[in-house]
Amino acid sequence: MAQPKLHVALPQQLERLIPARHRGLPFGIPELDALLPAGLPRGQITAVDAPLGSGGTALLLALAERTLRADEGVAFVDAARSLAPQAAAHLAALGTFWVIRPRGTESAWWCTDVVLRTGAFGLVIVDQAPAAARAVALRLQRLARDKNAVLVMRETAGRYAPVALRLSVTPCPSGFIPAVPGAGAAWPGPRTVRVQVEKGGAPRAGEVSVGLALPYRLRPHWAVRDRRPGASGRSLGGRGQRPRAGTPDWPERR
Amino acid sequence: MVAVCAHAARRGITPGMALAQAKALAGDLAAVPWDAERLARAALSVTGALLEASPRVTWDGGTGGPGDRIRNEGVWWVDAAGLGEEKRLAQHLIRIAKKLDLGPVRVGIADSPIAAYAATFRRPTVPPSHAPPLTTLVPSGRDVAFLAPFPIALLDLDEDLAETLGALGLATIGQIAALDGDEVEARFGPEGLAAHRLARGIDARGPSLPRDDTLPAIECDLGAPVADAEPLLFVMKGALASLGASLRAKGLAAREIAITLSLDDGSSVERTVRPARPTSHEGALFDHCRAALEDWQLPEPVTAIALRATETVPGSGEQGDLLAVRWADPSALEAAFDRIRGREGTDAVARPELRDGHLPADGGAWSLNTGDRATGGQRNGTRLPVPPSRPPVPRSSALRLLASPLPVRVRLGRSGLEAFRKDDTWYDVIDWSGPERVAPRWWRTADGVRDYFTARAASGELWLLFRSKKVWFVEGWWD
Repeated sequence: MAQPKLHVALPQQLERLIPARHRGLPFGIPELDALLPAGLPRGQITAVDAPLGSGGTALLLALAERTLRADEGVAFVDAARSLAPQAAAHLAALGTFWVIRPRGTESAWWCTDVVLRTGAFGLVIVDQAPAAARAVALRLQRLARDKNAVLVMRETAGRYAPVALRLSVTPCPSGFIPAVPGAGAAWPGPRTVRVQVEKGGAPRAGEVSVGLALPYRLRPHWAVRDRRPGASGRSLGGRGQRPRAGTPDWPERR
Repeated sequence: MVAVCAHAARRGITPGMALAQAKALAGDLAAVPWDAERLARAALSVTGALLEASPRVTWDGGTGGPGDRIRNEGVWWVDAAGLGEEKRLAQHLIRIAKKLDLGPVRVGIADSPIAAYAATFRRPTVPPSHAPPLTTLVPSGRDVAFLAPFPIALLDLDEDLAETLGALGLATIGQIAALDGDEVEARFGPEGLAAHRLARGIDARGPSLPRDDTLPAIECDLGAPVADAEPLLFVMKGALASLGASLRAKGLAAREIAITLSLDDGSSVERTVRPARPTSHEGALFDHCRAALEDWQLPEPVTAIALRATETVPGSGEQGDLLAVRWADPSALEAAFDRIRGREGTDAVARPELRDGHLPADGGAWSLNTGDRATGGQRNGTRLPVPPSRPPVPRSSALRLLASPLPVRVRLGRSGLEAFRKDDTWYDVIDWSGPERVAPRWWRTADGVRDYFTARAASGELWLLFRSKKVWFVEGWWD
């Protein structure tokens, strides 16, 4: 008598059986998705501790892009009103992407409450708002649970907030790349951002490479004379430029 | 006297008579104060009963007080088109009137309302064997001829115009219909033209689907004079909830809300509130009303508050898409955004756009024009084409900009930029690039050129600085 064959389903295969709307949100960055195989949990708060200039905004916008491509809405509560529109302009064409820019940082939580209640957003990002009181965080977490949304708080979760996942983002040191090797101006090279999972499983860390886009102006060359109106006719100078005696490009130190 | 019953009329009492004069004629006269609401309620019940005979019934009575035009208070327009034999319809209507005990009724059926109205004044021309009693049928296409012998008083003309026409010897409707329309308009203006149209049987009146056009209004008496805003806001919140429910019940959204406050000295003040988008959401309405109340200087305490929707639009509704992963009602989303805009300013909800500008601050803009793109182009199941995925690496740091460039002090050394001071904090610069000269608005010499620098601080941040006219500024940072 033939014995029935037993099939062992791997976790990756089982994951396919879960509808997309019940799965966590992936970052869309292979290094981070390997770090968080289940994605950011729905109905929960994810805290991202990313200090100023650490690359946190780039990671959150990558998360927003991946979410929009999955046909879900994204709301970005920019409490500090400092996000440059060109940094997120590519997201507006992908779907329901709205940026909430309250007058004061203290209104960010009220705006988050209103936005979550609509149920139109699968991802709500709160950036640079003051730390939420535990009662506020609890209410928002319940709202996120009711609406099956992911609520990401950057630097705002507070110590006692009901956080399911906490990520810590730190920049790794990086240098500048010269435009012309050996001479000429330089520009910032790609840098590495270290992401560490502090809560939500075993501590683990990964590194993500983040570049810098400067598409809005031409990069000058040290040998090119500036012939524009108002220019002195000298070269524009720059790091690595040959020193020129008697033509200081810098104001005198006082 | 506004209206009299048949019994009073037999005793010589006529509408327009003074009460004392009427009582002189009939000592046992029972005078009832004019109650427009009661009249409207009674008319509504009659209209509802007549709907049994035709789906389109309209009461032509004025709902105002005694000063209003009340000539047609006893007239109902009933659509007879497509209902088969007209005599049966007339019989049906008379049966209903008898059931309601409305007294003697007359039915006129014609192509135009003015001819049908005139028919109710004529003796039945059709033999009783062919038409029910009290019914006048005007054959189709014979309206003008039927109206011709009627006096011009039937047209309800302005007194001056009626006198003028009478002085010209025009006494019947047929004489007016015989005139040239252009000449009538040239001599008597729009009123004359309207009379000429009626004389030719062109009448825009008629039956329509019964509907309630009254806009919802809520009035609250505060009991005692209130000088603080808090109790007023408390009452206002409940009133707006009722108002919003009334609007939604009618399928409307308020474009404008009028707040009327009755003051302790008997006067009243009014202010209107216009949400950015029509809404029936009480939260959004409350935010706007509260904002209006906050900067409202009142000379006296408030004794009553009235809220009414002065301008409405049909509320939007859209069927959900079962196949969409996350479908949202656009009106609910707009209502939420409207709440945020009402409290945080009109620029609080925006979408980013790319712009063609040389300066970092000009490279993008916030689009406040939502139009019908509340759901990002997903309404009615249509989606914007999604560009193909970009390669995941390299990602770009996002630029963050200060509200305006901040002047900073810098420390320069042999290696160039060594440090800068922002918000009383010195940032040591470990690496930098630049200058990259940008001449913004070069046609304006006052702006000058900017030399942009990118500086890496020792703490890891990447700052965007520029130098203009020997002054250094911080404009933002990359994050």
